[in-house]
Amino acid sequence: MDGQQINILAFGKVAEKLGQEQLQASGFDDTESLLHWLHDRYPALKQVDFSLAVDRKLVTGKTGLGRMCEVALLPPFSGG
Amino acid sequence: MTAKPIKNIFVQGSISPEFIADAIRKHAHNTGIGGHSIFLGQVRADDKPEGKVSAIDYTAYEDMALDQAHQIREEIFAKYPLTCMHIYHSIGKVPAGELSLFVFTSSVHRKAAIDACEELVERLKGELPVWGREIMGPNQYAWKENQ
Repeated sequence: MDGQQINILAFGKVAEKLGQEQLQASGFDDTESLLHWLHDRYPALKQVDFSLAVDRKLVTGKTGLGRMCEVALLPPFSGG
Repeated sequence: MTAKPIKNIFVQGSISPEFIADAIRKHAHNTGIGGHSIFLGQVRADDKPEGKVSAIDYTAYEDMALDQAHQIREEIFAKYPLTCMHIYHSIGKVPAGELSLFVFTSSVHRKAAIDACEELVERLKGELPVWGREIMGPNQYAWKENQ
């Protein structure tokens, strides 16, 4: 997909497993294909539990990704 | 519902008792208030397999956390007859014994303030994308898990 930019943000334990807090990807139409690619590229991700947010909103299941979007990998929250 | 501006809830480091005293003092002029309810979260020096917790280092997905806090605020305001509501959460390092969360609700009669405060704390802990890393020593840490 031309010009598609996915900005991936990782937090907490997920960032630790990835070894970085931010990365870029392109060419993925939905969260399922993006996750598949991430797991292939970063096998350590399988050791952590995380949920996904697309453009700051939590999503579950296969979710479409727009041309410019922000996908965040969120381990279980532990604020307070 | 009127659109309110999104408030910043994050405070760098611990929340000081003076800051809390000031927040209480600022409500003196509002003589319609009959009750305040306050929750203060304090960093516990837990004994962990890695050692005793000396501090918690908080990080957040700030943009999303502010969106979430805003939405929670609106929902709690819609549910309870509150006069006001304030939320502050630490970001960065908070030593054991110091405060990392300050939730403050006020109402004409006590029950609304008490119930809203409790619900707010539960929702904030469960829904804000914030992470605490418990620090036990120079190279020892563990990711906090909420109960």
